[in-house]
Amino acid sequence: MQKKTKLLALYGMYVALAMILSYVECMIPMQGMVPGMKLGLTNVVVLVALYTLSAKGAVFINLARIFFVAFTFGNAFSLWYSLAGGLLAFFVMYLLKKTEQFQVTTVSVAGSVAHNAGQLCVAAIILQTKTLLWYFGVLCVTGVITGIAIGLLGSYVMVRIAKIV
Amino acid sequence: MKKIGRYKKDLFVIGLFLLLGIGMLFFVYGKKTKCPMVLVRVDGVVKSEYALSQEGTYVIQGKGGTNTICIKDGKVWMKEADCPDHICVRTGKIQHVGQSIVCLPHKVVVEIVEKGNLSS
Repeated sequence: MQKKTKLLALYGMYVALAMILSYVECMIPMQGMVPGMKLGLTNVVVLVALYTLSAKGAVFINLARIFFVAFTFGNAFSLWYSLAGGLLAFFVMYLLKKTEQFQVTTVSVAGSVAHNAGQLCVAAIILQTKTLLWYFGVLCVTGVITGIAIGLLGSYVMVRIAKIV
Repeated sequence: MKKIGRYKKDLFVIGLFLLLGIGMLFFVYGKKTKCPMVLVRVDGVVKSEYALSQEGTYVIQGKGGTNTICIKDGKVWMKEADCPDHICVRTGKIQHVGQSIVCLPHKVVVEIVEKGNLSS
């Protein structure tokens, strides 16, 4: 029973943290840079959840985050957008983690790139243009950079919270 | 050396993504074309097309709002838009074949294509 309560509290905290980080991300201006480029701060939470909880827990937190954020600060577009990105990123990170061959940072980089790929595919489908897919080149490079930053941040966080989780 | 060996697989994966990205960038920016055209699509349907040399300001009727594009000096940019996010305006100027400006809320895509290859 105690374990269950602890898990419930942890899930709640992770979802809340993911939502706050989504909001913080909206406020960081990325003007003049690559449009569609994001820091992917919420990916820290999903990454940490994947490593400290379970795959199921991480999926739940990811989905809860996507729906809550879309209904509070988003619109119908951004829901599909982040759903495709978020789920693809999770799937890729889960597979890479399962092989147990890679560092946290690499898993995070693959997640970032997959996130961008998923969003771009949805955008290409909504707008019905294939030209857009060339944009993946830029997003691949920015995904690697943000992925490394998020991966490092995530691994520090995991070391710090190892005692409580 | 031993330390690098441990991260070999990681470096390989990250390097692969970087190479893929940079390769695609080169492919898009490296191409030189004689007759670039500016193609405007709304909801996937081609609404209008201009030569990149056809300087001027054009108003596009998007879904739920208008966007204004400007063509000058072989470059195209979104001058004005009444969309909520203004990502299209912030995209800045584009000039290479394969580049595009997207206004997701209005479903407007402005892309530069090669002449005779308009269907792609």
